[in-house]
Amino acid sequence: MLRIYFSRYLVAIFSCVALFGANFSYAEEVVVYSARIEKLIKPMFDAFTKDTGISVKFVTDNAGVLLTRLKAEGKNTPADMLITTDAGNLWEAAREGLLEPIESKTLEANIPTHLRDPKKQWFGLSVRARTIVYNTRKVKPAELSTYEDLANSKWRGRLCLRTSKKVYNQSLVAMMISEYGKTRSEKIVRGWVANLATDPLSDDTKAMELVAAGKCDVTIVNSYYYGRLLKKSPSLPLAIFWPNQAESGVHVNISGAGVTKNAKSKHAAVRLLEFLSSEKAQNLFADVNMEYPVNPKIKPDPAVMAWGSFKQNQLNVVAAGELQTEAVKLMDRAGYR
Amino acid sequence: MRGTLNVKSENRNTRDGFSHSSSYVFRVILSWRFIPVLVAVLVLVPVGTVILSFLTPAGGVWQHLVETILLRVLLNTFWLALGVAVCSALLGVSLAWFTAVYDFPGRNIFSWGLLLPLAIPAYVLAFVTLGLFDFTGPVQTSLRSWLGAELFWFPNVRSRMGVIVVMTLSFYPYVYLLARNAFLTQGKRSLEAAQSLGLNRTQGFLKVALPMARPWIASGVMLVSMETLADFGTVAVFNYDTLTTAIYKAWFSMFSLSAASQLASLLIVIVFALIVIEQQFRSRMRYAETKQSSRAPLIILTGWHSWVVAGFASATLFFAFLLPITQLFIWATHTFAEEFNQLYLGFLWHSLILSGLAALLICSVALLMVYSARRHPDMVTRIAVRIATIGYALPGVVLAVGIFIPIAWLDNWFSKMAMQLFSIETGLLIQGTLVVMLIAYMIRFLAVGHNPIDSAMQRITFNIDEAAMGLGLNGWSMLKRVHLPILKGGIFTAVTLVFVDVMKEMPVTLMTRPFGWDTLAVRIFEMTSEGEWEQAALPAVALVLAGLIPIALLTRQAEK
Amino acid sequence: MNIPLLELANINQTYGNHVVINNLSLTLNKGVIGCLLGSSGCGKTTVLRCIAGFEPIEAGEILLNGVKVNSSGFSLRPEHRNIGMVFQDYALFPHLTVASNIAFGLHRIHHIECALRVKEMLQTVSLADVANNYPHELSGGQQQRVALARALAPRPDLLLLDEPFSNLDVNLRERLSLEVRDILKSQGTTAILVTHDQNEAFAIADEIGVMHHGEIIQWDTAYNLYHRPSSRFVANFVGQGVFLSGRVLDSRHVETELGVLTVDVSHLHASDSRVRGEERNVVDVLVRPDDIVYDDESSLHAKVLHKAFRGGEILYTLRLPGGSTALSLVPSHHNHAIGDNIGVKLEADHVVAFRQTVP
Repeated sequence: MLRIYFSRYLVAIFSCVALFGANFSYAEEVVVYSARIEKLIKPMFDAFTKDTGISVKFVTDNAGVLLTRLKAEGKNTPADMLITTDAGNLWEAAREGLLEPIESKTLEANIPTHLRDPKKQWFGLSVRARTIVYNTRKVKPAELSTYEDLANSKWRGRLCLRTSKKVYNQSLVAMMISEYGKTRSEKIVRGWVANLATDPLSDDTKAMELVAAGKCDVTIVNSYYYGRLLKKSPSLPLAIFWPNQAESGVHVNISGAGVTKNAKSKHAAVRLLEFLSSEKAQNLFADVNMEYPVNPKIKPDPAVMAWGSFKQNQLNVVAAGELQTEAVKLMDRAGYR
Repeated sequence: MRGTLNVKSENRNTRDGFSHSSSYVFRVILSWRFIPVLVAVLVLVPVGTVILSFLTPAGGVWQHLVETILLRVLLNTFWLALGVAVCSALLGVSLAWFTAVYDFPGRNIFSWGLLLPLAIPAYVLAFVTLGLFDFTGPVQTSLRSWLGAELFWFPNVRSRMGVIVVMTLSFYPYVYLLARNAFLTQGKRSLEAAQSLGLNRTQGFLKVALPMARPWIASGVMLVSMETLADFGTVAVFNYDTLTTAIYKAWFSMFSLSAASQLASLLIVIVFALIVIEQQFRSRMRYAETKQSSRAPLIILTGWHSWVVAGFASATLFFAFLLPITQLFIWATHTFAEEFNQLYLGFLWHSLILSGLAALLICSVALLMVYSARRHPDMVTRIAVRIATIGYALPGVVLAVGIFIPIAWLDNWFSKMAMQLFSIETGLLIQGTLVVMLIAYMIRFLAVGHNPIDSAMQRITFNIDEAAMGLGLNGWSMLKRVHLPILKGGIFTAVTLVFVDVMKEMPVTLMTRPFGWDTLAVRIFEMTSEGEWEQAALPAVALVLAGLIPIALLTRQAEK
Repeated sequence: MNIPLLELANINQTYGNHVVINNLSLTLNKGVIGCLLGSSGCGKTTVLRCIAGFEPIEAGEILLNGVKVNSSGFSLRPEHRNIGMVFQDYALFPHLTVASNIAFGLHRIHHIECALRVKEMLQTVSLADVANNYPHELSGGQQQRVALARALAPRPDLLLLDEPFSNLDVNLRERLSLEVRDILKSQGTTAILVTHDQNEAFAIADEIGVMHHGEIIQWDTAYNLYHRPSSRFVANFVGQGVFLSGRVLDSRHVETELGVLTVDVSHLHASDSRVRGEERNVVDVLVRPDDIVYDDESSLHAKVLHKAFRGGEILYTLRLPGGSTALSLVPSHHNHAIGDNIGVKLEADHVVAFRQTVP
């Protein structure tokens, strides 16, 4: 066994050393740069290969790094498709001219308008709702209403937040800027910072754990983190609250994809993209990470359904990209670390 | 390169001896001289790529950073680097001294066991420590339920002190390893001499052993400082803002590569300042011991002294290794069934082969550089060596991009040429090959390979060279028969450190790996980027276990 | 009462099964320079290290100025003994300058006093011009003197020198050993030197102990060791010479090929039960090269077998008429070729004899 491995890799090494190994191009193959990790994307690729016979080759990395890589490789990039876990990086890729507009009736039918680029350069594949989670022993749902309400002084010392360095919070604030303008948004963020019970946390799960432990009462997280945590420890006194239902709706972000400008297998890449928005793949998106499918025909995971339905903010997620830099600056000014 | 001619007779013996030997030797030496310069140029390419972006305007982003977070970030970075350097030095040197000179219960185990934390990536230690000791962790939770009260006295773990402690526990082995090496080989003679002059052991340690071990300690602390400055994972877990996190923010959140580069340039300036300080520590001292006195018997500690020392070593080992590895094991058993598959054999193999190849390459290059710097201790070589080892202090992701951009450019140029000249579609030839990956590792980790070998080289007096020349050895034969045996310990240390470091490395691996070349570190990255720390435990355990192999070899070698 | 500065009483030390020091005793008075002379492995360095306090002893006592510093189970820390040591490899501190090396042991005194003492020591060992250099910048002889100055600076009660000249070339060795003696005498230092080189021992020491297998075989002046060795071992070890077979005539006279010699043979009559009758009267007489002198008039002729030119003298190896071999040191203007027959005669007021070894 080991010997087979060894000789196989020896051949691989030598061919790489000879500067050729990595870039043979096969006929039907799509190369993907994915910021979505293997575990959350490979099942969809496997299903695609099974259906079409087209193989999918991919590398995972930070979205920002993948962008830089695409840019540096330019015309010769091996990548046909870019997948990210937020709209901001897709928007940036499009701004840099790295993505190709795709005309596809299938995509337009499968994906709601506010979850794809108006210029058709990228498309949402799953929805990530950023919502409020609270401690059921200390907070009554009636006390909660909106994101901006968490800036109210009645939450002084009761709020936990993830760091502003995470793109999810940047998108949230960017969308707020687009809706309310800079001045009001900054006031809201300053209110949040004033209400913090402890320094911003490094991840959503940590924030929820602190809420459950009683260090703070309420936090803002992506719903699938709540799902994962509750799956592991169902007894935690935590519950989801869908904010802004009387207003414009819950802030949503997307995990999405676009076909690269210099794709070698553009046709196959478009087929993959369409497949990812299809019912089959959308079901996988729903299963694999407790996210919400973009395709309205597909129901989320039963556990997710149990959290109730909610109104999504219909503002196009493109704003998350356009205003991301602005959002970061705003949070820096407000002292939100 | 013509510097040879300018060099005056500050080291008459070696230079004359060599240049007159034969033209062959002269040629070999000339080629040696090129090595540091060549490597320095290689390192300057990514650094230059980064600094060049300084010229493109960063617009409002830079201005914004200066106005809002820059000062805080700089202060944070300063205190963190200082704190980790001082604490690692104290911990590493004291443990090294105890295990090198004294006998106390468990000494044999501690002497190699205290190296084990090297195998645990700092960000993993950070997460585990935070998980255990933070407000929601089992320690505070149980204490609260026992005492039935809030623990106002419990120190805030997510604080500057917390980051310093975790990084110290993670990085002290660099100092420990090098200082111990120095203490073991510097011979007890000097300590006896100090005693015969009326100093007790403590005074002897402070006035003789410590100063004599200074180059080793300095290079260990230098490694620690560089690693601290470059770290992103650990500070991110603590949400502690440093220059490196600011670079990430400017680049990935504000889409301003130029602002990121300007911050990176600032970091490079700080590193150069550190290098100047380290040089001051070495000044004109030479640390050659003419003769290694036979290993003197260990001083046997008795009574409470021995238990204090044993307790100190145990506590370090416990918090830096046993506790985190136990936690990882527990998590790994939870996730094993779900997470383990045959891919892991591939991850493990990739990790091992990459680390092994990188260690060989880096240490060979480091050896050549050290050798060359010895033959030609002039300004050009010295500066070249310094530049060549700067990659370690740059955040991995900055360096990764700095490496990637010129390679992609070169690739595109090749491709264009091939198209114009032969009308062949070549695609990207260089990028995505192991060669690129290995060169990238070299640029990143040369300091880790260089420092131990360089310190060991300080041991070899020019008299030894002369003696060897008198016996008709020169050039390669002198390297092989005289220097390599003396440098063996240093080389082994270097190989181990590089091996383990490459295995833990993330950004360069992520960015330059060929398709399908996922390693254990890549796996950890994937899990942690989704916040799934428990899922990351399995690859982390595998990584730690794989890293233990060379460390075990190293300790066996060190004990010989 | 005159208390000896150093007294070793029946000390013992072993490494595993190997006896390193065997019931060794010695006494050294103040101002005397003693020497332990022996081949490598005889235990002489270990004795020195025991005196310094670096090695424990298993039995016996060491007294310094009448105060016990070592006995089994007790050992005064080296730093409290006020003993200076010059190591074989000098063990200079590479991170300190020459001046700082010398000042190293002066940490308890005021810095002005310290500076004066350093200056004084630098002058004593003639190193004032390299005071600010580092050890690696010095020659071997200079390093040696730094080591000496460093050890002497704190005015130790006793100075120990462990093979101090072994790293130096021969010329330097002879010059330095005389210099060192002068320095030690000028400082009034009591010292013990350890060496395997008898010339070094003769040049420096007042009293010399020849060591063998962890024992001192004879403790005496250089003259006595050479001319009155107490044992065949010492006779062999110290200086050159041959044994000539002789027959005891009476308690003061022995007959050899070179004639009848005046020999003190009283100690030979200590009874040895294994030796009987005629054998009791057969002895070996030690004849040094300087005991046989060149004499043209002499009736005794010897044949030159070998010659070694030594500048002022020639050492001839001669065959005596009776067939035995002898050495003769002759002024070098008496130059003879190998094979020549030359006239020699014995010229010694006394010689030493040993009983023939039992076959």
